Amino acid sequence: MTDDQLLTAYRTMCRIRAFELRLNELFLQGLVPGTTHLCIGQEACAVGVNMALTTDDMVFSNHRGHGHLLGRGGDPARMLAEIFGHPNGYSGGRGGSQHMAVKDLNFMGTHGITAGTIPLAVGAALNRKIHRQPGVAVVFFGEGAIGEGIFHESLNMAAIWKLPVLFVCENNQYAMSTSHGDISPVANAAERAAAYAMNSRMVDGNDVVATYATTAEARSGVAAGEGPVFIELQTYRISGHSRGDECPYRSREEEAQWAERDPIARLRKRLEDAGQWTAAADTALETQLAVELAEAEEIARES
Amino acid sequence: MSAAIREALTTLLREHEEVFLIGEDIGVYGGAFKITRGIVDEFGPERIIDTPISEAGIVSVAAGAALMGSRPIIEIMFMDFMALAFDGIINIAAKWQATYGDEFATPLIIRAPAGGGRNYGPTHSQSFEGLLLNVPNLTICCPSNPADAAGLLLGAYDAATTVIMVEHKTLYARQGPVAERLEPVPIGQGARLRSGSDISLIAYGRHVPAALQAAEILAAEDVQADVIDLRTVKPLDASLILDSLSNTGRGISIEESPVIGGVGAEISAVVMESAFEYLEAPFARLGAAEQIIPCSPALEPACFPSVDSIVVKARELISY
Repeated sequence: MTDDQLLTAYRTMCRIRAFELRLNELFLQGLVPGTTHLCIGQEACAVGVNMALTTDDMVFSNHRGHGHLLGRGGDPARMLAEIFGHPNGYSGGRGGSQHMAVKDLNFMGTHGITAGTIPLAVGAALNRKIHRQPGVAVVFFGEGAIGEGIFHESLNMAAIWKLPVLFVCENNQYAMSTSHGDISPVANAAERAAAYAMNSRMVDGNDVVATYATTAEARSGVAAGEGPVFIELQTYRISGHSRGDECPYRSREEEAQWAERDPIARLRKRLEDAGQWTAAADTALETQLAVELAEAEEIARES
Repeated sequence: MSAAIREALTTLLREHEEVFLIGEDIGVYGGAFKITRGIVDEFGPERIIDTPISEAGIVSVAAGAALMGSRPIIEIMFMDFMALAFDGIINIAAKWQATYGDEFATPLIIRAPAGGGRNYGPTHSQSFEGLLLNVPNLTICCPSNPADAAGLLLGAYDAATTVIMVEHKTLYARQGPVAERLEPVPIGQGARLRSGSDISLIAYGRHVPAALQAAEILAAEDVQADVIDLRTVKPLDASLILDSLSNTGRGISIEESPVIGGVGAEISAVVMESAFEYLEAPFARLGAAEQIIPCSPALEPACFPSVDSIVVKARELISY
């Protein structure tokens, strides 16, 4: 990543974090209907992957998709309008937090069924291959999605037809309350790819630089017709699963250990060490993001 | 009916490059019922796609392709296997456009050989149109003859929505006239095959020929049946049903799926809501029995409506 890209990545990750924190506040105040799934702690995954993609690429998300959409260039005002259930939301208020899509961004949808978008990405890639169009399909899913049969059917089909798909597994350690170790006989999600003779990579998903570099490298092979690639991003969901999750299934010690690997703090330190960032710049960014978000919220409320 | 379906599929493939066929053993083998036999020779394996045995994957992958502009036509080898693909049908194909907007349409045509009468037993004989009625945004067609089977496929293409094409497997061998140049049959329009003022026989699929035969028997008893071929069970042609019932005052629905919560239940509700004052007898339903569909030739027929059961029920209503 260039210096400019690093700064862009940092700002976008902070924008996602600010969005999610504000949303959490609104939920706790009872100002937002329904439920939501926050991606606090997973910002480097959304940003590192998205920055390695082109506008032709088709991005499929999941129930925890705010970061994916913001990372793709989504408008926070329209996202908030959707979450509020207002007509100017991306889905006209019909979908809420888990159902937003933006055709202009080739962002093909957040979705409420675990693993549900994995086959859609395979199909989108099949369409690209049949019609010899540019672009690869990218699908984000959690390690919990591996429990679904459709995950396996999708990987198999993508592999036998050598389709241009990037399977991006954000292993945030918990499928709701269930730890990966309790539901998987293999330690790493990426090992699953071998069953489909598919190339895989395992990356520190809290390191935006590594996430970006791996995605960019994998994408170029996928786009060149070398077949799909599976990327496991090791990360941690700092927030609970959804509204009302007090995380009784994990220890405060574990949370503290992962907090030390917070992707935003790590990137900030890297930028500061390189002389690209200062505490003053951070305060200014924080203020700027708060103002942007307040504006977005106002637009969303009035829409 | 097989040849007509094959011709309609070939026509769609020739006229629209975004159409492809996808399913299990549909290429060189031609599908379990040989409907797609020979098609791969003209269009090649890139457009006639053989898949692993992955019904869930087939439907959802096809939906992903549809989302990007393809017009997939899926074959599910036996409708029973569609149970494995309900997420793709219910949570994706029936919802994506309605949720995210018109730019996110996922038009699919899902063909499925269905129904009993061939002694295939409990997991190769079911017909899920009754079950699928309860899913908003799905269109369900159940042709009874070659011309409609072909025409509804063209109509389904034109409708550009998700259409389940329930093809009764005992009808594949049914012969019938097909126009030289295929014309689409509009979705949602039933057909009156015989006019009568005494009782309405409302059927679809393989029970249409049975209803016509029953009507002949009843005619000899001076009972004139109005025979309706629904052709599409969702959306129902309510105006045709009501037109018939308001004239006859008596009616029987005849379906392939179980009667509880099925097509007849829906027709009955439509009649109760809008033609109650015309009824001279309770509306009656015939359909699959509330049990598994047994394999034995000695047991299976009792599971389904027949010419005899239609005649018996009609006599009962006439003398009510």
